[in-house]
Amino acid sequence: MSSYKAVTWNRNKLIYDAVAIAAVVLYIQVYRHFGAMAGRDGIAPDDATLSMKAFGSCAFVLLSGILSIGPLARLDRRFLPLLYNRRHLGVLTCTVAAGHVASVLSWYFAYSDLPPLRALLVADTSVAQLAGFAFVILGVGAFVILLVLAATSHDFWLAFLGPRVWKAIHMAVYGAYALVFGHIAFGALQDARSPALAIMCALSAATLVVLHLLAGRKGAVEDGQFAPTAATTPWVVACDIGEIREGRGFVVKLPDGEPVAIFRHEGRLSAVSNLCAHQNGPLGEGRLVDGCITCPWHGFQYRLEDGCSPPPFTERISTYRLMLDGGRVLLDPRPNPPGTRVSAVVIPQAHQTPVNETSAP
Amino acid sequence: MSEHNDTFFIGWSNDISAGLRRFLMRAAAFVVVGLCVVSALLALSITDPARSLFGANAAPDIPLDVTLRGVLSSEPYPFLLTVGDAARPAGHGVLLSGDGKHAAVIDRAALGGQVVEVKGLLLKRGALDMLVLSESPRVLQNIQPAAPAAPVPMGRWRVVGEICDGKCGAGIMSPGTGIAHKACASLCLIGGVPPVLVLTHPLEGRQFLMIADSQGRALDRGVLRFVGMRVAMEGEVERRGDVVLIKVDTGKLRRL
Ligand code: HEM
Ligand code: FES
Repeated sequence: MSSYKAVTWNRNKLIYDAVAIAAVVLYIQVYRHFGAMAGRDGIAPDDATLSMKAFGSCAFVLLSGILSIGPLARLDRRFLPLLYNRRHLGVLTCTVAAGHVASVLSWYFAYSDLPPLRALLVADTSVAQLAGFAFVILGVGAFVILLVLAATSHDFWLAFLGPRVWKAIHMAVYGAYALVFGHIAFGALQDARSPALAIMCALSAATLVVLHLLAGRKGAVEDGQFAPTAATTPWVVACDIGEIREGRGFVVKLPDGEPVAIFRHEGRLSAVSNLCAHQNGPLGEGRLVDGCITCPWHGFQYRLEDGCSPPPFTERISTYRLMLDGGRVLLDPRPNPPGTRVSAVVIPQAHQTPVNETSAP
Repeated sequence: MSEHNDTFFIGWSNDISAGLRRFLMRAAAFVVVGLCVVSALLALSITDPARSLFGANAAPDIPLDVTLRGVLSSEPYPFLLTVGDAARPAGHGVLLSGDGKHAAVIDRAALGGQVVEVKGLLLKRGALDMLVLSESPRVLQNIQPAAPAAPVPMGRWRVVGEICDGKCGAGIMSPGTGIAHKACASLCLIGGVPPVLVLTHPLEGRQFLMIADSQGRALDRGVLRFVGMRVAMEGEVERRGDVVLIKVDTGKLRRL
């Protein structure tokens, strides 16, 4: 039996979804309202065209937002709650894009002898030219990606495919973004004589690039340093005891690149994989809650002593053996099978000096 | 480094610290207001691609149901040259199409060259008249067709303009021109709606031309990739009534 466990509905998710849906509804209404007044230049677009534009641009803005959440949360932990329910945002984006596609199909691709879906593929096939490139096909590609991602977004697929494969598939969202960008650049932008759409696209791309660069730089530090090998095999030198603060995790990278989180809890040290069994969230950036490692992304929990989620849950992560060498923490880079019990290493009195936390005066 | 100690968020837990709650409320307000602002700016900045095509004063007229009489021509596309009445002078050209993205349903062999009465919705934009037939043309037996007016050659021209379908171009869709509308226009042309060439610079006062291949036949699908954008072309030009037709060497179409 596949033992997947959905991140269940709760109040936070309901509020999150309500805000997102309200924002989308407002966006479409505002667009229709002001778009109908855009007659100062020639004639105003008809309602069908307004719908196409409203839903299309809304989907693009949402997509830009989704892609910003990851780096934002990396840069400022207060954005983590936005990450918590990001998948619902993905499904919402796909729904809005479906609204765009439906309004395009029922207008530009309707009223002919060809069924709309067939017309979509035969009406414009100018792919061998740059000016007048068949931009619609780029939109179709993006929409297919969004559909696949929305369809596989449920935790069932996550458990079925495993977090690594699932994550790899979901990286295609960047491909979807690139395709939509081309869809707009070769389509609507060619006709527009106002720079607003171009500015919006440029801002979106620039924001994403800058956020990802900043987050990448920060991440390179937080993902931990490579641990050098110790004098005796197979041990590696993880860190000094003093570097790990009470109640927190410390991340090191093993020689093979695998990240490990070492936690300090009531004078004892334990090491587990840094990758959450749910979506590979960074456990070392989590907290100890009720003595359990708590993932910063969706709150999955693992016991320090064996890497198992407390009952009734069944997730397990790999544990690692630790050893002290004076003030240094040594780690055996060979992972124990997920869920293996390892006794915590007790920090001797001499090294128990707690690291003080800054607090408000 | 600031640690936002109080802000560790656990999705399934409902106790969120006051500080984080405030932050999230502000973020939500920012997102909602921000989206509205982006939406309004984008919507207000929509431009009509037909404006650069037809010029500032070429908003389409309100479509009207009309009955017209004239001589029917079927090559390269069905069109009517009016016989002249109180509303229109004789020899005024009106393009014909069917509903949706369909050609006018006409028995070309039987009706070509006959004087007919046609009914339908007249789309009009500038000098471009497009009648969407609501019923089949009726031959007027009591009016003898005059000898078919011979085409008047106007020489060879090199012109620049946009090929669009004469129906959306006449304003039934807004916008009905441009790249965004390209696939739609292509479907119209595939369906047999007459294409028109809207000129960037008028040719002897004409803003739009009927367009055929160099043999005077309907354009084939090879030109679809040139639809909806500015293209340069060359061809023999001739006048039929007040309609001007260009017979382009389709092999020499060039995107600008
Ligand atoms: C089957 C898939 C799709 C089709 C057939 C399609 C078709 C079109 C067409 C015909 C236009 C031109 C309309 C106009 O500008 O007046 C357009 C514009 C646009 N599309 Fe798509 N599209 C598809 C998918 C998508 C997706 C997945 C997105 C975004 C996530 C998207 C975003 C946009 C945007 C932002 C515009 C420009 C709107 C504007 O003028 O402001 N499209 N699309
Ligand atoms: S990644 Fe989802 S809870 Fe850890």
